[in-house]
Amino acid sequence: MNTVFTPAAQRNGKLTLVQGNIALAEGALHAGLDCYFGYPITPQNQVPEYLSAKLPERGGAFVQAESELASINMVLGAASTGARAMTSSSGPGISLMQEGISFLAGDELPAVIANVMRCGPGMGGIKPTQGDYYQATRGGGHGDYHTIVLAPASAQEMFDLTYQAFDVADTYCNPVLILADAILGQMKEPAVLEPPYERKAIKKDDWSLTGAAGRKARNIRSMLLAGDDQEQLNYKLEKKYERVKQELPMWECIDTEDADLIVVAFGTSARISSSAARLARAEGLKVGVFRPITLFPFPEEALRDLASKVGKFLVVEMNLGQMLHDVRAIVGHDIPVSFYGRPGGGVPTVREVLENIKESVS
Amino acid sequence: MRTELLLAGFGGQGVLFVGDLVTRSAMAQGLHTTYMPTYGVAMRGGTANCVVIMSDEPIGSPVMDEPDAAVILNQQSFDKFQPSLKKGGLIVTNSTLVSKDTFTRSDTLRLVMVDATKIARKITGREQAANMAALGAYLAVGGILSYDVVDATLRANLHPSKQALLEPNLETIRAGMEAAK
Repeated sequence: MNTVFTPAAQRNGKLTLVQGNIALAEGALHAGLDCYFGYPITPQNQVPEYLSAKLPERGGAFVQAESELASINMVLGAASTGARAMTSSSGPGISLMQEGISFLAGDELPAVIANVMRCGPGMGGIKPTQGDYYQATRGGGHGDYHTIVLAPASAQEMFDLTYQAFDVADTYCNPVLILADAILGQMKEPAVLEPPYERKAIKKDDWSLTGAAGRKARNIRSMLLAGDDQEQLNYKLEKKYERVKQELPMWECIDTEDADLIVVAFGTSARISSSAARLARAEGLKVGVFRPITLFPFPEEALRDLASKVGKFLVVEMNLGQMLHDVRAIVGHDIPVSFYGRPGGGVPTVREVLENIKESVS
Repeated sequence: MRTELLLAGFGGQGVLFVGDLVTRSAMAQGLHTTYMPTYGVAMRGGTANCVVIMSDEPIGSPVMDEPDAAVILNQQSFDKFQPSLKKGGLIVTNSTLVSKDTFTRSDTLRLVMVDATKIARKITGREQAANMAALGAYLAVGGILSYDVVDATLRANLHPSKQALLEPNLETIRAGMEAAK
């Protein structure tokens, strides 16, 4: 399951110039999306716009709901019948969905939610950010749960990871969040819009609500009042998250073998950091990039392994330091971890990251 | 080789369209490429821009940093973006709407001025094709994309409902090339 997919340029197949949001929608269609429910918000509007035309053509159901609350609860209803269901939104829309996401986690229902991040807090603006890292990786809603979080960094990965997200959701019966941002959603670049592997057939007929004729009625719920049922559910979930942590971590290492400094960054920040690292190499500095592709589960072992060989780390984010604390916790307090980030729609420039690389390495 | 190309103008002048065409052409020419537009709230007469990166290596950041070249169709964008260009960079601009007197970096930048709006009006009878004339000028002096690839790319991607505009647009590109020589 934890495949790191080949970049577009090294793929066999036809390259298409595609916007990130459309690549995401195409990934869902190729994964056999049955139902999409959503409410418009920039910068992800191309996802519902595209699916509103393409999904009904393939026999699926597209519903523009009356709100994000309605959208996520429609996803919950569709998922409970075994359908492949998704929604997408951004910023305040994703905040509104948190109750439903907590219900999906408690009910152990597979679903895909795409967050094309825009800057906040509050109503915020439409510029890109990575300010929702905490919300995405810490649960976001109430209760002791996790969503699985996949962080694409290219149009190709918008396609591949969305395609894969449905299999991941079905495998673990858990909501999966695609954590993109406005840059990844709005930019266009070449991608191969063909499935990176053959779709898995994952049985759902042993739990889905398909009508009780000829069998005992089923009940999907997360309100467990009897005895210690609620406590037991949490132990069961924890066991699942441990399995996810064993099986799912994905990451990319760029020029890390001989590095004196490693930049840790995901999504768009990783793209910017890889440009800066290349410039640093041209100036004789040995710099690599570690890019987590799964943010939950965070690729802890891979990063710890690097920390045993590399003396210095720099975390770059489009926020004021969220993943930073995960990186510090993993590499330990003996290894210096510096930080550069810009919040509220500010995007670090390659030159800014390069300056921070130079300061951190010296 | 890595080139960061900024395209800027009024909303409605077709800078996003021409940016998309450049990106598709770069892809057809076997280059790595990315396209990052302005998005969200926009209106005709407001400003619009996009950044296209073309490279023979995989592209890291798709975000504008320090453009190597710019195609600029109006005065506001010329004033705004002139300072951000890389030393030794290239600006192709529309002399119908941009005054040469406002060029403040004459010692470090190469300026190519073509009467893009006038050329468009003369060939197509409308101003909307000024983007094509400016693109032609960029093709002539930019040294990256070939006319033949752009020609084939426009043919392959122009919406069927716009087919009548194909030949006039191609002619406008060629006239832009000629004007920049």
